[in-house]
Amino acid sequence: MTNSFRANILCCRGTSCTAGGSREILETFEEEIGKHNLEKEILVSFSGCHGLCSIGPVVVIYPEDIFYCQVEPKDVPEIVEKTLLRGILVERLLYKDPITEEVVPHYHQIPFYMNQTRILLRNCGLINPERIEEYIARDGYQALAKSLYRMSPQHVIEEIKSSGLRGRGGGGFPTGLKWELTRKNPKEPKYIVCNADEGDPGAFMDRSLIEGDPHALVEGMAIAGYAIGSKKGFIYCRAEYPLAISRLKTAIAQGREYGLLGENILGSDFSFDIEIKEGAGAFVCGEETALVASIEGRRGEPRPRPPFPAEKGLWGKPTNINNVKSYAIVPQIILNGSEWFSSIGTEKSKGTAVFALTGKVKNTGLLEIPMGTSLGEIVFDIGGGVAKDRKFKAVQTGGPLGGCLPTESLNLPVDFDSLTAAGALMGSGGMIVVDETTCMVELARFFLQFVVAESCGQCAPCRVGGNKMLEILTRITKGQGKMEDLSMLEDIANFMKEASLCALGQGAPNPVLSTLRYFKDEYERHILDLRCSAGVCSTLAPSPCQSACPAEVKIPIYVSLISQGKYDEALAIHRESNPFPSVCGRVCPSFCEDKCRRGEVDEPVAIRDLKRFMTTKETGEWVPEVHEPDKGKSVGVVGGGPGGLTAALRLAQTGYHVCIYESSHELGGMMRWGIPDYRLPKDVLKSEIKSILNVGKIDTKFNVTVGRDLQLDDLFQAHDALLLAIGAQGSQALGVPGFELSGVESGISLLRKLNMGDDLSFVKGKRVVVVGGGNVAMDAARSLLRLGAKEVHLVYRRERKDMPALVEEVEATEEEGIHFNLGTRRWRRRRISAEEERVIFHYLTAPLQVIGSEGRVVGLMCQKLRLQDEKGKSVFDVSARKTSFPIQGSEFILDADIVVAAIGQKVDQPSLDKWGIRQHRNGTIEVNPRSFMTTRTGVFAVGDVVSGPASIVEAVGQANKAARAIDRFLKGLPLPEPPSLMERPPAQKYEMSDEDAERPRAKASILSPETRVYDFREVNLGFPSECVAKAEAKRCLRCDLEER
Amino acid sequence: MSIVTLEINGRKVQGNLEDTILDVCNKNGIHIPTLCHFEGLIDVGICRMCLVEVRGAKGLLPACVTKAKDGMVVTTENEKIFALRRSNLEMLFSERNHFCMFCEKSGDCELQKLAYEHGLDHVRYGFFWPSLPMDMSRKYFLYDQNRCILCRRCVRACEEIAGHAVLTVKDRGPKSMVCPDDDLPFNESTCVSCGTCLQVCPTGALADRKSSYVGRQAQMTRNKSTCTFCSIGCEIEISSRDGEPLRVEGIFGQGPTKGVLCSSGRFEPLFECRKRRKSPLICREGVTKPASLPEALAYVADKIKYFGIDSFAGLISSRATNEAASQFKRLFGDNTFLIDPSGTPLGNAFISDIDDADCIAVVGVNLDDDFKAASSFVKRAANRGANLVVVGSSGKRVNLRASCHLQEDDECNLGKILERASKPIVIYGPDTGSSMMEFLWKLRPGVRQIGLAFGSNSRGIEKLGIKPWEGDKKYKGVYVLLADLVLPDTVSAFLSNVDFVAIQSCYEGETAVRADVFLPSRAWYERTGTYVNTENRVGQLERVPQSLPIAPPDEEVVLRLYSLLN
Repeated sequence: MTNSFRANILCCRGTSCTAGGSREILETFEEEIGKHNLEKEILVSFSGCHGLCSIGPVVVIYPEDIFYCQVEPKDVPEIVEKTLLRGILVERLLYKDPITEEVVPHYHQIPFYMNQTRILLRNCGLINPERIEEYIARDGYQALAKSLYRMSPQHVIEEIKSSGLRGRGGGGFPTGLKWELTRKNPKEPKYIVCNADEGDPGAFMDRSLIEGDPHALVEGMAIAGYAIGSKKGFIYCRAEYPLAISRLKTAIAQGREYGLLGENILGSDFSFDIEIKEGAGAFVCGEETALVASIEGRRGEPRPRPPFPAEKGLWGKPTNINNVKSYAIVPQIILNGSEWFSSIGTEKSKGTAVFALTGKVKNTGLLEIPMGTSLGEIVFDIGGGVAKDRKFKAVQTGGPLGGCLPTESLNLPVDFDSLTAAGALMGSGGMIVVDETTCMVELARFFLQFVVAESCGQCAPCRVGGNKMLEILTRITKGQGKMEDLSMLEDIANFMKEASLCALGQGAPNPVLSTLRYFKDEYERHILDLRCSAGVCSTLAPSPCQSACPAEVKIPIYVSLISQGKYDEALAIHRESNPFPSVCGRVCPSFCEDKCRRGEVDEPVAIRDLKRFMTTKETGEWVPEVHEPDKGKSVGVVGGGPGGLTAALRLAQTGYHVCIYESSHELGGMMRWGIPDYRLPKDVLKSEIKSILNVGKIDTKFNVTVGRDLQLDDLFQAHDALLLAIGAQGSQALGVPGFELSGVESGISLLRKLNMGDDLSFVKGKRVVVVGGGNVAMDAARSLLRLGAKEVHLVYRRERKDMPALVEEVEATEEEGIHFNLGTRRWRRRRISAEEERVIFHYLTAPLQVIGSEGRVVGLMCQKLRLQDEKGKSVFDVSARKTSFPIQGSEFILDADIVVAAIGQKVDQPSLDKWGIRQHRNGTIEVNPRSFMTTRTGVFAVGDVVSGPASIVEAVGQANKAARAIDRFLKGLPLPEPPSLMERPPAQKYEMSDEDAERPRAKASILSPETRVYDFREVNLGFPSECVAKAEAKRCLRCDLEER
Repeated sequence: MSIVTLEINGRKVQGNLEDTILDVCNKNGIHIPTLCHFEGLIDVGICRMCLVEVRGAKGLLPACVTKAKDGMVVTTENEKIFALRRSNLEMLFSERNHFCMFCEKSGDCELQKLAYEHGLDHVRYGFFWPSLPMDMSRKYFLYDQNRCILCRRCVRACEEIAGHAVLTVKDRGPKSMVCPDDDLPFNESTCVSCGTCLQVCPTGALADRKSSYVGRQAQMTRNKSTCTFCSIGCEIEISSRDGEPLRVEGIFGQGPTKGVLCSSGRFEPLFECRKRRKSPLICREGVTKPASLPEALAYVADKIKYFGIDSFAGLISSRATNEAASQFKRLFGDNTFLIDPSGTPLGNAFISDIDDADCIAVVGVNLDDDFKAASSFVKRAANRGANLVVVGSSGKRVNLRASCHLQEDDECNLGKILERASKPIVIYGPDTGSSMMEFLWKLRPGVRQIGLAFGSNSRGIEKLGIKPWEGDKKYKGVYVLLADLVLPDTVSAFLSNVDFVAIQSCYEGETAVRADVFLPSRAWYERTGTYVNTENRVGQLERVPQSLPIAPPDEEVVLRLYSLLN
């Protein structure tokens, strides 16, 4: 008699959770249940892999469907006590959605699972894989019975054929047709072989499926045996999968015991048995002919096809070889009918696809989706998006023989043919998400290295060609590449594709070809600039932070000097590359911190705060050194912003006379006019600029607007070369009806008025709507609050995570008095009381029309947006963000006295064309990306006018290079300058103390939101003390000292 | 056999049903470059040189393994295919050291020939410059991995032709390396120096030491002959220059062993270290002096006359040709004896019949040491899964492959095993016991039997009615026609009790010193005539052209002696 239990505890015993200690958890549960005498009430059991391996070990409690993750044995008593005895959830063990940060208590409500269609994986995580009864209870072996008693072998084959099932191993050959070919071969005996030699790095679909539901495979193979007319099946499973092998052995033994395998299955005259062959782990043995050789006991090497195994397979006999997933889906097709199966998926790729999603994605694990689901939906809806909210770069599908698909492919439906057309592969289902910290050249090199090592070595195209490509790629990653190498790579790749013996050699070039196709610029940057954009290739990138910095500041060096208290030396190092340590110590977007290696361990080093700290410790005033004697030549610099000033300084240091033409009455550009005081106090900026001018040789002419007061030719009269650093001063128009109404203002002009010291007291008590999600929008909103606006509404057309503004800016804005009607409540605890909530965020909202009365703004009509199109599908744009679509009838009006449009800046200089300086369509100046020379000889340009609205440090980086280019130009040397490797200290062993290794990131003192919103006092006060700063500096891992 | 008709390069051509595209092309004079293909080896399609376009096929197909089908439309040569083959060659050239000017094989190298064919004047891909170790452990040949292109002909030949299955490939991908056994040096491996691998190597990776670095194939003369070093009598091809043999090779598909040779036939004769004696010697009263042939012959004739022909024995070695033996017999009549008799009755099958046997019984014969070329056939039969039964011992390596070992006199079990087999074959030899021999005799003609004999031409000489030397009779004088045989101890002991000894031999040595008269004889490569091998086949010996024999043929010397006496 079977007991009935009131609850069932299922511990995951997949490979990953088992490694995480799920066995101890299981044992502890049994112990605890025993202690409370609940053995008759509660069943403790285990299951196969649930798929969400990144949060294991997982425990699910039925029937409540409670999902506990990252469980440790010490949590077990609490679970038993609270959940099982008192019905209370243990909140800290519940799943937290990485996007919304909301707690999801129930297994099937977790977005990762909700967005899937689990047919093949239906039993994984649900049944105990070592109990055949549980499989049978889930309709197991019914399909086998149905086939044996209600269908002829031909009928089974017809059913599979009409289901449209294609080989899940990656080849995509119609399964039914393959079966038919084997069946029709008159030779006897026939064999059934299951390819479970899953060898791709990062792939674990077959393994998890076998571990979670081994009987599905056994049943599928038995049905195949019946249909094809075979009595003997082999499962070729790699020996590295001991759990899978042991579960299979158990399943086969149980099958025999139950009469579901062996002689006269279920009393019919069909006999079938399965043998397991353990593979030694050669990747190439996944190729079917190599697999056959390996089973036969020979060296696992492919042979040319034809003849295909259906004709000549194991021991020369007709053999049907399918992947684990192809067999395991068969019972479902037989049970539910081919029509049901073919209703899922796309026209040419039916059913579902199982992927192992890994890499830089929030939810890594095993998932199953209908064919045709877009790549973006997999990565963002199921995968939860890129880990650490970094920028998405690519998805590598199909294992080492597959390809890398870029942002542009996010809308690509995932099926056999679309992936192949895009240069990737379905493969057996590995999917690796890659973010901006991955170098595509290195990635291609990595995969190629794998394939070359795994090549069987029979044919020269694969053996030599692959090695040759590997050599070239290695050279490129070491900065020894040539542009000819790229065509050589393509040449070899095409040769390998044409001439290689097997799919391994033919597919080996795919990672290279696809990265060359979609990421050629990265290759070129390695070759032409000797830079690795991702900061990965160690020869080209001394440390990730330094290579992430547009000005290439030697960050590890100065951080190390700070830790020793050598602040002046640290500043000198900084100023070699960037003369604005005080400014950048406050407002730099700190690309360095995003890439900081320490961030992979816990949190990045607080580089910006350290930088700011060292400026406060400077002794005396900086007088820049002049490195070279006077050249007797002069350069005119138009624009006194960060780009213009940096270039002027570098040119002066090189021995040139410089004259800066500034249209306003003060230097600083956007630093002066675009940033409110609470972020960058004016006196800090002033003294920084003053010390730069200490270099001498720099004249300044204020209130001169080139184009109006002076023409380019006039400047050429006075100077030998010119540099345009005029910024992007204009603002994008709102572009909706009513934008001309009084009270509509652009964000940039609002900030300018503020920084000019204009009277803005009229803002007091007003309702303001700010449109936009960038830094200017945040600055505008926060400034308006400080000016006494009654309410500020922020209207942004995407989600919070998509906002281009710096995260800390958004958070600061939120802190300063915010209520959200969408999005998260991250700052719940620090929220000010409700009556003070003065900033309201409207996400997924677009302005439709400014409503006015008597020429003045009275409101803004908005429309709600959603992230799915009319078919409910997500559409991704080139920035890897979801496109928003209007919701009809969702229009609403926000009352407003002022509307601030902060939706972007643009270059506002119409007269360039007549000077022979070509502009892009968006107004930015066309320059040589390496010399920064415009289309007019002798005229250079840097900063926002070249790159569009960007950061100070980017302008500084460009200005450094442009100054060197101007120097070369004036010396008559060819442009651009030959690239040189970034300097890096000699490798040495660096030992970090345990204390430094454990220490959390230091926090700067910040004025509380309650106190800071009334005036323009600086919000960030920097590190509280020197010892905090020194300790923080010691957190640096000094990855620049690594051996390479 | 049914005929298939294909269109190749726009031409209608015909081939047989089981032919590959390459076969059809070869038959129709259409050239397809190949590297891994070698007639007689199972094709594997790995060198990718023979890729051709077949209409309707996905991608290019290797002609060597693609079966020709009726109505197939094939293109063997177009710009794309040519470029692909060229790239393939470039890959091979860039992979290892293929600098022809330093290579022994230059001029005779298949890789080099293909490079010329494809106009390869440089390698775009750059060289890898590997520095791989050379295996110089063997006396007769060397192995230079730097010149290996991994076509695996040697590996396949070692298994499929020679049957030894010593060579294999270790590691994977670019690290792939052909090696003997478990990556041992050749001299520590199970390699038996049969040299088959040398003969199939398309480049200079495997080269014999004798003919290396002394000139190109084109400067050599090739002639066919028969190996004289055991009773199997393999057909050989001798490459020589100025009359000096430099290389011995098997002729695939021909002769008793279809091209399989052993180290005794292929290498050892070329490294003969015994000193050649070119002119006759006469020893009178303990003083040895050189003499002319007529002088020496006259001296021998005088001695024969003095002792009387009946007290004179003629001992002949089986290295003598049938022609020499018949003259010898004429001279010495019933007193003619064979030094190294066959010891085995004639069989009723050929060695090559082993190829289609499903059960092979080796009865009392050491194949490893005495009949090496035959051991190849037995080994490869075992490799393909035939049942190998060893009665007694057949040598270490053959024993290893046996599925069943029987006692020397276990006729009962042997009979049972043979009965169960559908195509059994028995190999017996001089060591087969007499009761066993009787048992086997009764099985004829139902069971095919190969009788392996000692003595290179013992079957031929015995056929002339010359009896084996028993060593029991007393003679006053002896004439020994030794040719290049080493004098057996029994004969040597006998000679010390004889008054007068004349020895006709190729080499100086103890025997020559102790002889009263030494007469020169022709070496193996100088001999012309016929041998009868252990299967009763007649083999033809051909003198290497331009060799300058130091002596007349053996039969002529004997004939001259005969005429002096009569």
